[in-house]
Amino acid sequence: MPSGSPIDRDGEDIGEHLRQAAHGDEQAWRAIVRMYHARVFGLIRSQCGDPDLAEEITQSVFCTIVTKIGSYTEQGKFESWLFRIATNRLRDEMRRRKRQARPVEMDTLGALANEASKEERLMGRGGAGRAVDHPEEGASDRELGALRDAMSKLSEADQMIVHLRHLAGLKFNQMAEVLGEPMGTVLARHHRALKKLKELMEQGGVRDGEE
Amino acid sequence: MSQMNEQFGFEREPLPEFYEADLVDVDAQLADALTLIEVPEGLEDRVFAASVRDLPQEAVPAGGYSFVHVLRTRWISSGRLAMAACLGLVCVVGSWMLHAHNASQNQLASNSPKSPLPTIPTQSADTDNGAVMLASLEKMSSDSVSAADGGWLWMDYARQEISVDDLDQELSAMMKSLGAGDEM
Repeated sequence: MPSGSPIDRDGEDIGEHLRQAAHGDEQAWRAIVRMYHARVFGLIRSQCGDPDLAEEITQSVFCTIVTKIGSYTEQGKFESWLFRIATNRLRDEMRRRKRQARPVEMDTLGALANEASKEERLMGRGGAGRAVDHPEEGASDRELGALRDAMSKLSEADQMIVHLRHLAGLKFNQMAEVLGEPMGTVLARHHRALKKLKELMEQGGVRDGEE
Repeated sequence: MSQMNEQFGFEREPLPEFYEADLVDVDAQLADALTLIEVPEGLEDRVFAASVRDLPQEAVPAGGYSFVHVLRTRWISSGRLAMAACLGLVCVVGSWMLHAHNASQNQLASNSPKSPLPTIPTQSADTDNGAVMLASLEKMSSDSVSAADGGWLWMDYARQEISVDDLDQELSAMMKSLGAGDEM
């Protein structure tokens, strides 16, 4: 078993799930879907901004994976493979629909944050279901607004790197495999994106202060 | 230090050492903000239901497919291509053999032995005999092989490479071998 295989919440190796699923084991396949469906959906949803389209593409990605799982040999790169299929499918779908991938809908995030804050005040804790588990640790509304504005000003490539890290949960070497770029390039771009985000948030804060 | 993303179920990789502290803070803010994306209820069930029907039904060996298995399945899957290639090869080889056979026949025909007999001094003296020979050749034309042989003889005679007597003898021998010697 390759040592690079990720471990699920129950401590099981994804490689074992993949082998069993290749045998036709439905429970093993369900475990794989459970592990990755939210991450794939989150990445697609953040890039396309359309929850219905994101769900459609997510289902399509897993349908593609399941048809190829019989011939797949796990070498610790399942996540890179999965998210490369996901990003390719998203790009194809965007081309097919003759529109550009919209940046993450931080408006939606802001609305969710406001809703969560309201429910928190009403219920005494984060009330947005699975969306906010630890609202006391989250960014404030103002910081979230600044972050929303700043994210919308990043290039799509920089946004993708941020989303691959925080939604897909990929390591930098996995991002490099998905994007087909050297790891140094990915690291440099991520560093530059965070720096730009910080500058944009500071500029937004200054403008808010002046107003 | 890595952080666990509870909603998406993964452990975020720590940032490299060269990241400044303020950038690490921005990264943490992003992590908090992006977990606000809500996953639709029942998505897992829907994804599973849509994909499970395509789960492989064939049991795969524990150690993966053997080389022989892969070779066999790939051979079967490309059977039609192999069949077409074989047919094409047979056609090419057959065509080449036919061509080679024809070429060798022509070669043999062009190198057919010439009669060492002396040539006829004048053709006018044999005009009557030539007419007889022509009549014989026309009679022989009912048999394609005999006609061809007779044709070669006639050409030799026309080129004055054999005499009339020799031509007559050759034709008589040929007709006898064909069972038509009595008619001459």
